[in-house]
Amino acid sequence: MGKSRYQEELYRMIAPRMYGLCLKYANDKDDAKDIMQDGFIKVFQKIDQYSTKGSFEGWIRRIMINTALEKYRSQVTIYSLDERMPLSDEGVQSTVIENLSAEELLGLIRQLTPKYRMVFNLYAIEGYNHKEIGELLGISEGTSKSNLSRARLILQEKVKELYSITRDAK
Amino acid sequence: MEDRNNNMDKVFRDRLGDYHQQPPEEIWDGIKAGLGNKSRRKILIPLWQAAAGVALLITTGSLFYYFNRPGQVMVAEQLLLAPQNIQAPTQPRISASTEMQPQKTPVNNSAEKETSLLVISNNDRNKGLVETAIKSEKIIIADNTAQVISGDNNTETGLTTGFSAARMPESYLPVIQRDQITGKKKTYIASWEMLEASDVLMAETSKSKDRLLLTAQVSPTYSYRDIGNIDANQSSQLNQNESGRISYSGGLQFGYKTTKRLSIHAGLMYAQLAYNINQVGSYNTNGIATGNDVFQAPDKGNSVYAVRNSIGTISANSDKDFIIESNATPNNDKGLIDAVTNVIPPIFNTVGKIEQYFQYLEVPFLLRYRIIDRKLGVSLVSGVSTNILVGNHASLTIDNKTNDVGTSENVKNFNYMGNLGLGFDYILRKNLLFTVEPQFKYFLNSINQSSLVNRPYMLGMFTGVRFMW
Repeated sequence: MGKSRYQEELYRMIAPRMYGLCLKYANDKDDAKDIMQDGFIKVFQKIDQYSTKGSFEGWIRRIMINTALEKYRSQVTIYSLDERMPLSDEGVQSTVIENLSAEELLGLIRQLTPKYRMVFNLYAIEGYNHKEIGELLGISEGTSKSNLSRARLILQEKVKELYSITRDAK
Repeated sequence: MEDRNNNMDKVFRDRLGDYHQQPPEEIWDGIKAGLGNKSRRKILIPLWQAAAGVALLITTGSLFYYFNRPGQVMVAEQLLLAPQNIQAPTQPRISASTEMQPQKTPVNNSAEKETSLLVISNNDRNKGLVETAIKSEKIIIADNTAQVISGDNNTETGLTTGFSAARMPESYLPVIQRDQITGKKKTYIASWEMLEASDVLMAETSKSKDRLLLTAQVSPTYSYRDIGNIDANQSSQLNQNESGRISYSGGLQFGYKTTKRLSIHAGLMYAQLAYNINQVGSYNTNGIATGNDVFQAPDKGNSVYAVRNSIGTISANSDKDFIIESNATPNNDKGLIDAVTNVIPPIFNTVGKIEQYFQYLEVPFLLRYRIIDRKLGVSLVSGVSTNILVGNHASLTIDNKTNDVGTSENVKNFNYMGNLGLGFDYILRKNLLFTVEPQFKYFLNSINQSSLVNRPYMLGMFTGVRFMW
């Protein structure tokens, strides 16, 4: 059995979850494909370095996330016009969000710019704290916090827009 | 606001946390392509190919010899390699099917050179060797199953498949196992780089590792003796009065592992045998009527008597002021007290016991054969020892006071002893075993030079450690 068969088996086992992860971080499917490919190439090249601390899948996840962050790193600190847009404080009822499907939620975070998407994913989904996010992205804790708030507000806005529901509607 | 945020986070986390989707196949193609670009040297294990290069031939020649010695156990380091320029897309690859059949699998990517799996270990102890012998490799090492790999007999080169392959797990995902040597969890992942000839030579020399053994053991022992049944009366009396004692033994053994399971050992131990003679009466000599022959000490002074026992007469020191007699002295030899017949001691103090001690330097020669060879191993132990008497004394204990009495006479200086035992050992870490070895040791010849044959024996539970290097 060749090495390639081993690699393929490993890939086949974890690819769906890793692709799901890439989709969360990427702007679109093309980017997701790039992140996935680059990430796995790194995984197989670095496999010697894997130590037994932590789970193997966790290690692969981290490589994937890092690959995704690499891709958008240059964009993370861009000050975009988004910043200037005022956002209303009104959000939507939680029930609206709760009724959205995974695909719809995915679509929502795709609408965030990479900067906000990274922070939101890392905080809300992966569970990193602001200090860790700061280290990963090369930003300050404060910036991470404000990016997160901003991301949340944008998401609320988008939900409203896309699902045409206001706070008062039932 | 806070709640809303947290709720929203939670929804995203719950729905997308484990989000997965089947990726398009082209992604995998892209990954393969990306990996194939790096030029790697690969191990080719086509035994059925003629190897080029004198160095390789020498290496393989010596390995071939090693493989084909009868009764040889295949060990992990024996990896063959072939030069890179051999391309044989149709060669059967060594596969890891459970039937151990070679399967012909087509080449799936022309950008890659063929690689074949070589995973060998059927020797737990050598797993560590494999890791060190192969520099950057981690190799999947499955449970040890020594099966001859179903590669082909190469009639062209005369090399038959000389190595065994462990049965591979079906999937080559990282296997987290307890490392057989250290007991720690380790991850084994396959990766492939060609070994240089030097790696093989290093592996070659490392096969002689772990053959030198040093064992240190101690044990409490129970010793007693076998006196046969020559004279029924005598024997029964002696048996009635005497008993064994707990004593101790310990020492060092050097060993050499000749095969995977068999090792020979020689060493130096110290063993003490001890016995009790019970029902010994002591008397104050003051005021004893010495008119009676029986109470006259043989040539040693008035207050000294000898106690006969199954080992030999104990000649007591001459400066003691007590008389000892034992019920186990039915004969009325000169110098012995007959406590059974008509002598009534004038003053009977107390009954005590005599302890006999014999200290030996033991030179054992042992064979240990591992019948179960795993992390917890079980061995059969047998051998013979030469015992050299280095100490011999007896003491009398009466009223919790112990007095040194003298020595047992007629004890041989040299004895031969047979050993039989069962060894249990447990790998603590690399090169270090913890052993527990119940043993039975039996004198092959009599301990004394009298007509009453007395063969002591010892039962011990030897605990110790064994170093291997």
